[in-house]
Amino acid sequence: MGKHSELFAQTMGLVYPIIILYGFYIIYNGHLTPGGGFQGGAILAGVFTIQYLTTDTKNVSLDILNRIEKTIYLLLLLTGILIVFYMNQELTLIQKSYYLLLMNTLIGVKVSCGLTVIFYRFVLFESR
Amino acid sequence: MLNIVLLLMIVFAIASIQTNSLRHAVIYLCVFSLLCSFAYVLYQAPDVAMAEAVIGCTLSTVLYLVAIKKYRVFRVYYSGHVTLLEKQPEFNVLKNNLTTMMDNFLREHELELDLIDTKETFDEIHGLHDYDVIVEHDNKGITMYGSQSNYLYDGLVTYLIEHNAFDIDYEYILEEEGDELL
Amino acid sequence: MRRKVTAAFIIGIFLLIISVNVIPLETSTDLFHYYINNFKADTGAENSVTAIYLNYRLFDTFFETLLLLVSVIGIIYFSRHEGDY
Repeated sequence: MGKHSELFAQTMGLVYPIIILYGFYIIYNGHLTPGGGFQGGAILAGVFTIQYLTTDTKNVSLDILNRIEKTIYLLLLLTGILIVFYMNQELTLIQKSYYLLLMNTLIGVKVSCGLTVIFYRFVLFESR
Repeated sequence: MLNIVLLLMIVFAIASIQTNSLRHAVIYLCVFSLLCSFAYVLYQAPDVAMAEAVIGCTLSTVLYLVAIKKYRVFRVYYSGHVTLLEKQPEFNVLKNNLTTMMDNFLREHELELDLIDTKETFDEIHGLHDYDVIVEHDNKGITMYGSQSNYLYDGLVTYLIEHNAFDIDYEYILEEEGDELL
Repeated sequence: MRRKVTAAFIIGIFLLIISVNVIPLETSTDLFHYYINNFKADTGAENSVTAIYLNYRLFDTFFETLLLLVSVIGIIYFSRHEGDY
């Protein structure tokens, strides 16, 4: 990709942790404020695009990310079906909100893995 | 407020279609997406606005820009088969001139010239390879072929006519009606 | 010919859609009022959007995430391989 701007790299190095914190904030407050798993996961995937723009690293293992995504999808199905369709009546309100938190986290990690794989696949492998 | 945002959205959508440079189109699309997410906020749907801002404004814009940076190659097949001996020096001069002209034109449009020398005839290249423009140079002269759907070919032809002393025949390849795409 | 038929079909569907009167959300169904009044007690969420997509409409979420997974698999399968990943 050629040379990277030093100014851009330094500024993004400062903003980087703030964006990660913001993504996790959106995921963990998904059941209280607007936002949720998908939005937070997309923000976390945006961090990886910034990493590509600033440092040009290619040491992201897409295979592992893809495996994580598939595993998390199975976990998502299991917890969702178990809790909502079998135990929804017995749980208290606080337990239900913990269930929402768990589901939001799973969806957020899954979405960020998926969007990262899509981005890196297009950027690194689609060349002539 | 909402009406102003909606009007600006229409303006930027038209601007992104009508502009000539692809980079400008991507940036206009990014601004359109940002205004779209703002309109969602005004419609009191902050969840959708957040998703739109992240996906439309960050990820897809960066993806488009990287794609433009990768696919900026203009592929030209130069098929020269001059057999007469007295035309041989003239052939080289003409070829060099044409190549520099094309290179200048493509540099104006932020593209790179990818020149491929072959001995194959036009029909073989047309059938087998992926090309943007084919130049055929034989004893009679130079002929250029380009597809009608190639939006740069017209500009290239007018540029060569304006700046050129030697004569070239220009021809368009007529595409068949692409019904099988539907 | 086929293109024109397809274009006419799409335009017809578009005209059909915009000719229908839009029902306002408040008078649409009882379900709307049920969700607004009961989502906190049913699901324990403060944000009604989360309550709907993680509890009332859970199957929607499942297949939406499956859609993303399938698109990732499709991109990996169809993109050109240059080296291992």
